[in-house]
Amino acid sequence: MSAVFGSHPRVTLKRVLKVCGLLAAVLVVLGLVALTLGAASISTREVAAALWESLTGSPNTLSPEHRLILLEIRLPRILLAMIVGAALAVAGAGYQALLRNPLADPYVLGMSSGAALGAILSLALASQFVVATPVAASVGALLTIAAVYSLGRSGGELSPYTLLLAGIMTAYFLTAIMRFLLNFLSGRDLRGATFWLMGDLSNPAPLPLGWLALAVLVAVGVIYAVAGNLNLLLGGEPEAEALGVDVRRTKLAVYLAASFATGLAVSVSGAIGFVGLLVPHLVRLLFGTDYRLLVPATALGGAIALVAADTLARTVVAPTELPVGAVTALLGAPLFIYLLRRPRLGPPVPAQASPPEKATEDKGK
Amino acid sequence: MATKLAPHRQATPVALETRRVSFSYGEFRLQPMNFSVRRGELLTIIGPNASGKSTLLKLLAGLLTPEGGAVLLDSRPVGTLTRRERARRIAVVQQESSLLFPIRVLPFVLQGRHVHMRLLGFESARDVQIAREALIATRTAHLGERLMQELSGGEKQRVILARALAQQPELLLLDEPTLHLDIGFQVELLRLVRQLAREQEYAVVLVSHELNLAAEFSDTALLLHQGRMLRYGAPAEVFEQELLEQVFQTELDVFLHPETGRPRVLIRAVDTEEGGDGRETLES
Repeated sequence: MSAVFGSHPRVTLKRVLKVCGLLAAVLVVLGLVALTLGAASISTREVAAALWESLTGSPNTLSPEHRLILLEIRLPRILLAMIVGAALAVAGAGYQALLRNPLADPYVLGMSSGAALGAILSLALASQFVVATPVAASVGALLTIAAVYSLGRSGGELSPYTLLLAGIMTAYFLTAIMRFLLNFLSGRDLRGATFWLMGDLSNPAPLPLGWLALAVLVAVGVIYAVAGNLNLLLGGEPEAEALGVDVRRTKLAVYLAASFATGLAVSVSGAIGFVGLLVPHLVRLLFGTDYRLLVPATALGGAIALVAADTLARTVVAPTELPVGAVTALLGAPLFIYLLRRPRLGPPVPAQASPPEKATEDKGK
Repeated sequence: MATKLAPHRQATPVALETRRVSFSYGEFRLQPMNFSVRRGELLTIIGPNASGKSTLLKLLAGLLTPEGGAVLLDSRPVGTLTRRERARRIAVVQQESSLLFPIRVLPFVLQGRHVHMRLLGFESARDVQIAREALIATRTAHLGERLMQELSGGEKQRVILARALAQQPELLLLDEPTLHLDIGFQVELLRLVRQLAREQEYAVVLVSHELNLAAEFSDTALLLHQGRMLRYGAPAEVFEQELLEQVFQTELDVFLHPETGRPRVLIRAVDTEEGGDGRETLES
């Protein structure tokens, strides 16, 4: 694993395009495979026919039932998984840099619970406004991270362990409030507690998917715009300031964008855990730690991961389903513990062993 | 290669100047003080713990705003520089925070080019060239592909210095760059810094607890005590036995080195019963 960390080429525009092209191809293939999988057995040929039909409008022999399953149920769900996965993964990568903590994740630190609480409140108070839910969820995430951030500071310093404990306890507290609310308001259609606590992609999104995708793209774009600054921020705030980074503005941008992304994701799919932890770390292992590559690769990787997890969730015990959050937690929680047990709260740092000590000296002089 | 690192120089020999600069936070007050550093010159700020050394350095860096007076870089108040201008002209080597994720040496040094790039920028071939020259200048070119986390203390300090040089600054500020280094690396680093100051005409200000290094390598020294500039001048003028004994509250021998003519400070052996207020060494 340490060898993997040592061997990433420097990030250039060409490399970003190459890696993202590769991941995008994987995502498309995975999406197509996921379309063929499910409780009803539908052949690859029928999937191709359905897609062809929806693209060209020319009718064909597909049965109405299968057309309904493919285009009205599976396809929107897969697209929703992509959008939510991208949002959660990039939010995680953003929070990790913002809080200088490799274990930061919207679910672990309570931002998802805050967002869920916001969403539930908006559904209870203003369910006639569809837009109110993602906005209230974003505000919930925003308030939660503000609270966790100030609780995690001890003596002016942001302590990684205090931060984690503060986040986990905040998540518990908010979840408890959420349970109370759901009990009191049980007569209304607020979706179930399992939806909010574990996450679920089986409900069709209350917002048009195009809008949702656009909003997530804006959030990802904001974080990508400060990716270079985030690289410097990883080395400490005073250093970044001295190197010319506007630390305050960078942090504010990430704080807002990551919370917005979390709010959007939670408002349509509940609190799906560990995507924001799992994906950025896998991307770092595969492609290095430079945020100029990490942010777009994490967005695509998050989409891939959640489509894969959701496909598992709806096929493993078909015809019933697992909550998708159970699948992500099954993979994410052990990773969290693995990272926690590494020295200095970080990914592996190789010992003095075998660096590629080739002729790097003064070439081209 | 050496000339490429050097930025365009202004005509005036004085690069950095303070005019009655002062600062305060809480009870602590940095009294107004005047001093200046010429191009190619090295000024060392010395003084006991909590005398205001790092605060003064941050004022010079433009990272703190003076309460009164001004810090002038080429006759222009540092406070009027934009953030980007400031980072292009002033490089600061600080007591490093830990790095969150593994990063290799060349990308680390390229961070010094950040302020020369556009938003969302990727380094140009020229940026890479400048970073490589900075590595060569600090004799760390062979480390380019290594991870920062696997370097020794001395290697790491030189790489951090290389990142500062990659900014192509006029003013180089170093906060205890020799901390945690053994005596060999301390001498090597300061010799390197002085040589760079001479060749590339950087104005250099460094904060150090190492009195002998300061005496040997500085052109001028500045003694701070409780926020007050007690003395400022050539090392021989600043390193006065009674003054240092008072400030550091320990018995010292100060003499001139027979060969270099520069002051040297020795700890005088002290009986435990007569050890002043219990402080026996310079370190704490």
